[in-house]
Amino acid sequence: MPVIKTRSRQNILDIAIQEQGDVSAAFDLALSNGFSLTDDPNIGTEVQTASAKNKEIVKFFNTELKNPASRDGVIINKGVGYWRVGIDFKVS
Amino acid sequence: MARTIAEIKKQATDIFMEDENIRTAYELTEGNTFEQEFSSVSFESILFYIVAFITWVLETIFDTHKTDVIAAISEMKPHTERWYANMAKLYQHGFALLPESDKYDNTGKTDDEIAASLVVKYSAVVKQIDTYGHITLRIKTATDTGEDLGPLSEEQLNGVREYFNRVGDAGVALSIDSLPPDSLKMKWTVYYDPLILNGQGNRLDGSAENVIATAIKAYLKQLPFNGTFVLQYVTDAVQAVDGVVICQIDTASSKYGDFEFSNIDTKIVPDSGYLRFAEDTDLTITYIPQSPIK
Repeated sequence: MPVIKTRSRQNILDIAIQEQGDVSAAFDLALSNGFSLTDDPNIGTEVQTASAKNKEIVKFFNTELKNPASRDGVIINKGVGYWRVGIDFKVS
Repeated sequence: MARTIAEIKKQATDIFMEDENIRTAYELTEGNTFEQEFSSVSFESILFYIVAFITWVLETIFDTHKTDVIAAISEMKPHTERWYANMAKLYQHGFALLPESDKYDNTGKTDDEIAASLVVKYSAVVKQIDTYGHITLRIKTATDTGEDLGPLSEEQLNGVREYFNRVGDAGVALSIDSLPPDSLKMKWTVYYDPLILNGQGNRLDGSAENVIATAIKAYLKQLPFNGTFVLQYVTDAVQAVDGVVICQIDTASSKYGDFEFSNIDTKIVPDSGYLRFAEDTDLTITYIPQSPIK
């Protein structure tokens, strides 16, 4: 069983896609590693994965060296110092 | 049983395609499937996928819940072997039982204290009939030593025996033990790919050493307590190691207690519940270089 480490902003669903090529693997992955499906694992958490369900997709992520990371981790600051004219700086 | 994401999505899209108002609004051709009309990366397709995924998660959770409930019900039934095995794991070392009860009073105790008192980590129950026809339930137990399984101390074992005197069914003869692991001796011949491994079983890239012995020991560790040790399965585990072309077990023997080593024929259930190599020299591997055959 290969063991991988999560990267920044990756959740269980991302790992399922990246390592097994199918999001439906997420449930087994969460169960076998003792996570909840909605847990946000810390960076570098070790996850034991199983064999690929869709090899094409796994191959794509491995060869392109891309890692899906869909967890919402970006903090958008608010206030006069961060608002930008024409985007979110509104004068009413 | 939960439907697959694809099945759920198909059922939803079929209903979507059958709706006359939708067909008119989207200008769809009657009789066409959803996939014929919408791209798999279209907004509609992705939306249906998301809904199907959520439904699938929910259905899978219901499945897991059902399995958990069935397991809880079957374990709660008294007088079964599984009930005894389960009760052994609930023994808390150093805690007094509530009067006339098989429960402990854990009020005021921290989770760490309770976890530390649960010394029986593994248990299995075997029904034994002696030559006179007397039936005894043998409860095999083991604890977790941090890295591996190990026997309970004499003090802990006496505690478990007294505990079963109070919670067990009257009239059921019990024999409770916690033994050191059965000793295993094996001789292997491994034909290895000399481009990946060397003659000592080390990887040429230096990433791992003695990979065959590691795989065999890992297999022994992941066997369930009181699980059957099958020679064929351990061969499969070694065969799966990168760089192994062919592998075969020349001899395999095991012993427990003061008995002599006896040959393992196909499979064996360890007497103590688990098998280990007593000495590193008990596992000998002959390495023969061999180019990949298939």
